Amino acid sequence: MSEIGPGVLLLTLVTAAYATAAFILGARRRYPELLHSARNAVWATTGLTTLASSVLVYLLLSRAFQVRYVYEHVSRNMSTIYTLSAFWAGQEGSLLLWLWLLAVLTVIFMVTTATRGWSSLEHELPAHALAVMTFTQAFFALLLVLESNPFVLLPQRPLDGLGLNPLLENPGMIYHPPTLFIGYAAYTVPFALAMAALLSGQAGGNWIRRMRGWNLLAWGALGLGILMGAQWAYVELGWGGYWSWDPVENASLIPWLTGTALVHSAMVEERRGLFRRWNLLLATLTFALCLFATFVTRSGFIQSVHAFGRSNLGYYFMVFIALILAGAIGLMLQHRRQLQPAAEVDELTSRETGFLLSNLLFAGGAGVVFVGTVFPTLSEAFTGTRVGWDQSFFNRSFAPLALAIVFLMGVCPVLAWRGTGWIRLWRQVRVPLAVGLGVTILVAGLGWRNLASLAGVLVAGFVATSMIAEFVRGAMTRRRATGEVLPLALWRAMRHNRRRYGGYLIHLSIVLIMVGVTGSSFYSTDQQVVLARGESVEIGSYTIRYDDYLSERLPEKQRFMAQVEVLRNGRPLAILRPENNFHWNVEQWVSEVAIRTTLLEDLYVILAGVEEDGLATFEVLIKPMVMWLWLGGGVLVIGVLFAGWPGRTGERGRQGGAA
Amino acid sequence: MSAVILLLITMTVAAFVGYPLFAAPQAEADLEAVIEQEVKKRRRRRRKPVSVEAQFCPQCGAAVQADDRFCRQCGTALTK
Repeated sequence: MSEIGPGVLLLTLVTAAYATAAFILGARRRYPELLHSARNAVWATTGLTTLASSVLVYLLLSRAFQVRYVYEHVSRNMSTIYTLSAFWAGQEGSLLLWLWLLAVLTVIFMVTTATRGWSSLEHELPAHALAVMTFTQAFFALLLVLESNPFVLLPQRPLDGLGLNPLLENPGMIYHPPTLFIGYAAYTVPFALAMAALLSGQAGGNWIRRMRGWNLLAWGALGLGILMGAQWAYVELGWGGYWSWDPVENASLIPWLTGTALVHSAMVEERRGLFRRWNLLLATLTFALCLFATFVTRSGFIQSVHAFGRSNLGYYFMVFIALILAGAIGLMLQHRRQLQPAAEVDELTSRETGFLLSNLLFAGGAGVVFVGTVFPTLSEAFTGTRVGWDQSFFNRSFAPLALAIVFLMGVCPVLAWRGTGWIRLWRQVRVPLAVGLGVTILVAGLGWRNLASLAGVLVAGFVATSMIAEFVRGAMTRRRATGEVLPLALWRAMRHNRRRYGGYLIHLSIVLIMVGVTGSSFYSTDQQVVLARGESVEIGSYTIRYDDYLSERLPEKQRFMAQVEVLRNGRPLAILRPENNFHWNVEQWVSEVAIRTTLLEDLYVILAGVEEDGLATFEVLIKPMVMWLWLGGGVLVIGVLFAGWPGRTGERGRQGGAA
Repeated sequence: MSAVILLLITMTVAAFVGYPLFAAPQAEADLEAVIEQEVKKRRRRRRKPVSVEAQFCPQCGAAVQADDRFCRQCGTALTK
């Protein structure tokens, strides 16, 4: 089976490259038969990548260790589900996943954008967009054929494989990478539409409208993927954190920030014809940053400049990214006439100004994270010494920007397009501001004294009230007009403007996430205790009693597990079983933490070690509000689905649209 | 064995991608649609971009904004 893999990949490269040429020629020369052939080539590419992926899945499941990729990522004692997830554990498989997801999305794009016959010129835009997408497919196919072939054979067949790193054996490994990759691959579509708008001379036209659903899909998947990664780090890595400004984390955050800017600025172009150049630029940058993230995650380039030379992959990515940026800027210069704004920003208190400010903040945030991420590598490349920043650089520079962005979320929805006036603005925000202030005083009374965290609470309270007020306002207006009962009125009001209320739901989710970040960053406690069996210790409001431990030798690891009972005021709350295991295949200790989660705080217990006589060392962390992060993630998904679900968005006329 | 499979796949793909190029030309109805679209497109191209500054009310001559539906001065309905 492994022999047909490389051949199928080569064929994929041919069909994808052919499709690119055929779409461009077919659209330019008005040659419907050629467009038809190009569309078939898209189907063929998708079929071929599916075939190549199936071959890899078959090789992984049948444990064909003569294939190097299988040998490096699978071992005999791995369960089926983690054997499957080995598909994206390495560079070659990840790139194949990228290509396959892009191929599937391309077919979906093709089928949904052009339902009536393809001969008409209405399809000049989708044809060019498909050319850009198939060109990207060809790039990934080229990488797979030349540099990163997952089907390479070893000289002889080993008896067992190396298996997955035990840190990767977590449910997070199953859902986090594919979700992130859906986000990356889906950002090809906004970029392709932006380029198609330029290539087909419709830059002022409706590419923005066509892009909207794809933009939301990509943004939602990327955001969800990032949160899933944070949750995975939190439960698996055993240091009680979920975000460490690690280059690989940052690499996925940067396109998400520019993507967030794009979601917002696209609305301004749709309504007022402003920000045209900025939107094209953002779509391009976001896609380029997605490619950059893929490459950073897989090459180790950011960890050290020396990783760059280990494979040629880096050069391919650099050339492709440079090509994209140069092409986009060249096309924008060529068509600059069409890109004149249709109007100007009228007033400081207008919604346009709000969007402009938030866009600047998103871009600023992305810039800060980008510089902080690549600076160490650049300094190493140019000076030979690695100069970098620690986490406090990111925390200090990013947190104020994030706070300002969230604050704007509370102000923008009450701003009207074109202008509001200061007095009306004040009337709209004074109640939410008062509520925010009240919440802050309450929280300060309960013991949160750090000023930065109180600023976070103030902003969160203000924005949450402002958002909830929007829902109440909509429901009340509808009830007055129709006489429906309040819950029904709320639901119908929301359904009739899914874009607006979906946006508000997403904003609420960001507030929840912000509360989680604030609570856990400022008020976590961390204590190390050594206990003999039967001993207990008071930590916070908890009593922690170490009852027993277990040690057993398993085929893949030496397992140590401690049983700990958690009590409060003598009342048992939970039994926790943290583990610390020695894995044979990597010869390394891996700890499995135990967490008791409530809405207000997490009790996070790490087993640091067990002595022969049962004396155990525990690290006990109390992390407030972490649950709010994951709740925010849930609301985020609901909001994105609500706002982006295909079909009538129920939007009427010019009102609506979240800020 | 795998060479035969690959050859079969290649031939299938080539036939699938290539056949539209040798199929009979599209029917007349499609041609009509093409002409229709072309005309529409040319019309669109000829239409001048709406400029914000240079618009005035035909009734009273007051300056109006691009997306105003009525004149702010005299209330005349504005059509574009």
